Amino acid sequence: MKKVGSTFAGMSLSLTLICLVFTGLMATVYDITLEPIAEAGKAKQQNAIKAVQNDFDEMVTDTVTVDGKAYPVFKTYKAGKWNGTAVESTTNGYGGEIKVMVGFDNQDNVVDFQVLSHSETPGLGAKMDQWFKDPKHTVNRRHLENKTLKVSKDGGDIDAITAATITSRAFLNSVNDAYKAYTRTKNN
Amino acid sequence: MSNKLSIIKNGLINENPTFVLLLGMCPTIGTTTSALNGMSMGLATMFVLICSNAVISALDRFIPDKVHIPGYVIIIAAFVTILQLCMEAYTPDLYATLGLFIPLIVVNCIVLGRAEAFAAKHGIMDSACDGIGIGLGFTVALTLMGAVRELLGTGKIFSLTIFPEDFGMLSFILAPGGFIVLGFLIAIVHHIQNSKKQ
Repeated sequence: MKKVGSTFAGMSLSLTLICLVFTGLMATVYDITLEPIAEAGKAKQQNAIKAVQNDFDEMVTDTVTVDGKAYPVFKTYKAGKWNGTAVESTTNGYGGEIKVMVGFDNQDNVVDFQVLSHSETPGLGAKMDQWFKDPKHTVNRRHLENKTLKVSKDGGDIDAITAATITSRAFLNSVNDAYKAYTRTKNN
Repeated sequence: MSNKLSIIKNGLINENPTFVLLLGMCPTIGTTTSALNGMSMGLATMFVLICSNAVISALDRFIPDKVHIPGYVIIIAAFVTILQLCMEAYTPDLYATLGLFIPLIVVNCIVLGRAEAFAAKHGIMDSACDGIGIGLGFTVALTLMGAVRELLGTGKIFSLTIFPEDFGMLSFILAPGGFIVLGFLIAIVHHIQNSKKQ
C-alpha cells in the first residue's frame, strides 16, 4: 500500500483520525481508573488521619475557611465525645506546595502530623517529616493556645532544618494555619 | 531471531540512550536521586517506548510526512497518559514520587528520537524490540546512576544501609552531584568500549 501523501485532505484526515482513536483510548482508560484513583486518594487520607490522631470511632468531615483559605477538617469522636480534629493544611515551601495533615486533641495540643505531599529538595527540606518528629525539635505534643510556632532564627523555640530554613518556616506556618482552622471547629 | 536479539543488544549497549546517545538528560538528572526512583522511571519509559514504537511503525504509512511529528506526539502522549492514570490508580506510592516526571516522558527526546530514527523505517516486531532494547538501556543506566548517587549521598542502595547516613555527601543527591556521576559513568562506559575495540 502506498503512503498517504502530504495533501491537505490527507493531512487533515490522518490527524483527525489519530486524534479520535487515541482520545477514545485515553477516555476509556480514564473511565476505568477513575474509581481506583479516588479510592487510593481516600485511603491515603484515612491512613493519614489515623496516623495523626488519637483513637477514635467516629469521624465527621467538614470544611473551615480562615482568611479566605479553605481547610478540610476531620472531627473525631470517641464514644460520642469529641476528642480532637485533624486538619489538612497547605502552604508554599521552597520547591512548591507542602501539604500536611495535623492532628489536634481537644485541648489545643498537637498530637502528631504527617506530610502528605511536597516537592522540597531531597536530602534537605525533604526530611522535614523525620526532623520535626525528632524529640529534639519536634512539634508534637506542643500546646498551641495563644502561641505561634517559629524557628529559632525568627525568635521561636524550634530549630530549623539545617540548610532548609525556608522549608522549616513553611512547615511551621502550615501547622499554625492548621491550628487556626482547628480553633474554629472547637467552638461549634 | 538473532536479528531481534542484536536490535535489543544495540539499544542496551552500542546505542545506550544515556551513556552513548546522551539523550533524555533531564529525567536522568531529575529522577536518579535513588536507585528505586531511577529504575521506576526507566521502566515507565520502556513501557511507553515499546507501545509507541510498535504503534508508530504500524501506522506510519497513514501519517503524511509533513505532519508526522504532531501525529507521533499524539500517539506518545496517549500512552503516557494511560501509564500515568494506571500508576495513579494501582501504584499510588510510586506515583507520589515519580508523578512529576511521568508527563515529561511525552517530550523525552529518546521516545520521539526512536520513533523518528527507527520505528518509522522498520517493521512492528523490530520496532518493539528496539523499544525493549533502548528501554532496558535507559533503565540500566538510570538504576546504576541512582544507585551510585544514593550510595554516595545517603549511604544506602535500594534503601539498604551500607554505611551510616552521616558520612554521606549530600551534594550527590542534588543536581551537581548528578552531573558529576553522569560524567564519570560516561567516561567509564566509553573506556570499556574503546578497550574492547583494540
